[in-house]
Amino acid sequence: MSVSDILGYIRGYVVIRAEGCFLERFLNICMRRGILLRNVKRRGDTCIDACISIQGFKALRQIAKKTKTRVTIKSRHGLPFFLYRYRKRRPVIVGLVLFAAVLWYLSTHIMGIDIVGNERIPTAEIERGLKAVGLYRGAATGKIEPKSVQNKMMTGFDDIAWIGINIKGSRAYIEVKERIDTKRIEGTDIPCNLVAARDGIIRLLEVKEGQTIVKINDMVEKGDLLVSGAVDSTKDGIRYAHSFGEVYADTRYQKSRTYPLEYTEKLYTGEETKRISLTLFGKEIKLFLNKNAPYEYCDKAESKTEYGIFGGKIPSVFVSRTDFKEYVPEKKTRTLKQAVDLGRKELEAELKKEIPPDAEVKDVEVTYTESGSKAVEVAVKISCTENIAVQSVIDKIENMNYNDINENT
Amino acid sequence: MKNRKKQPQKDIQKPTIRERVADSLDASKEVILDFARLEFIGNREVTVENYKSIVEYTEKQIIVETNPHRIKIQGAELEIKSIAREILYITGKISSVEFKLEV
Repeated sequence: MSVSDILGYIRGYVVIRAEGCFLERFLNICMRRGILLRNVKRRGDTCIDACISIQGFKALRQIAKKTKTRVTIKSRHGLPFFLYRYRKRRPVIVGLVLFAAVLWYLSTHIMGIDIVGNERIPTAEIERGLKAVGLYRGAATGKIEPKSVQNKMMTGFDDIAWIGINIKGSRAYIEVKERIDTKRIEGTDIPCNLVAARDGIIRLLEVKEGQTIVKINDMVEKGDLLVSGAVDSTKDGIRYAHSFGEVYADTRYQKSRTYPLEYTEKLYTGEETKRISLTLFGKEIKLFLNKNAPYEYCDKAESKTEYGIFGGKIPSVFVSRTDFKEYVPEKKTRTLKQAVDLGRKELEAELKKEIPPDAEVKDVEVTYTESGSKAVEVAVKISCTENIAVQSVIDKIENMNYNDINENT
Repeated sequence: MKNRKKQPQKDIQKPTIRERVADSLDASKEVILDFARLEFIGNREVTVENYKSIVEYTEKQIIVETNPHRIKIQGAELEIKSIAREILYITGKISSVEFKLEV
């Protein structure tokens, strides 16, 4: 099907039969009046068939009279006739309008936001920030100015060094560049400070470069300056150094939790049911009949899968699956000792994950207090010695202030 | 005068002033001479540009009036695919084309 065929279909055309003795004259007059005839076929001595546009057909009457030709319509083709046939069917018209409206909506509004490049900032947070500056699912693409969104996002998020906003069709592609992490200073010539990564009491200082600010037995809080990269000396004035070294401090990790002495345990029966529902453009369609939970006691686990239409360009179809696992609750009791042991085990395991692997564990302290007669609060404290020094780039503004202070004094 | 010497004189007719102008300007002749322009694709299709009118149209023979010739196209299953003011588009199995000067 060629372009001209499609255009012909949209405009509509008629297949006519012309009968008469002066058909050549008829054709010539048509030609001279600018009436386009197509697929002219001879059908015997006094008869031809041809295709003609609707407007052309209307102008034909006069010519037919002049050349004594009898023109009859053989068949009608095209959209105008189709529409005429269905003019009384209101739902068809409504459907067409709806189709156009949906097409217009889907192609002029943001249907999906792709965020790439963020490692520390959660995607949801960026999405929230974007929504606040007017870029969200359903926003009109014409009203979004990538430049202004970019500026607002960069001022709104301290951690974003650069943000790129590309709107392609109905999808927004966001590229985020985060500020360099303090741990990732690689060049040895970048001026930097050493700051505390955790709260603690300084025990040992092994500073190889930079001006030490803290002393042994000092209490420091997370984020406190330990070693300054701005080295002040009477001879040379201020020099910026790439501070490095180790600052060992006593740190403490603790956690507590209340354990009831009477508790219920889930005994799984092995019975499982899954239910699938479909979400189309925000409307949920349940593909199951029973709306109540299948069991009296059960665990619910939901998983969602997104299916984009047109290669993921319209992310509006979700298939969500809910799994139900049946269990029988059983009341159990435990002694104080059992509860404390369990608490100690659980809390210690959790704390071990927080403690960096190079930290030296010095002491583990477990305390418990009975709260009422039915519960016990278990607390675990782990004392360690570890290197708490972390490099952080000297901020330009901070460093300017520092200069100002020194000039004034 | 130089041009005239170089040009081989195939036609019996003397080239007209218009033709000489067209030659020297390197312009397309059909525009300046107001001739018809025929374009064949094998023997299947022919487009006739700048024609005057159709004199005869049957399946075996189409006669088209142009300036200054009358062109007779003969063949089988001839069909006018499209007919517009300037362009005539004929398909079919063309066997011969004949140019006749008008009397």
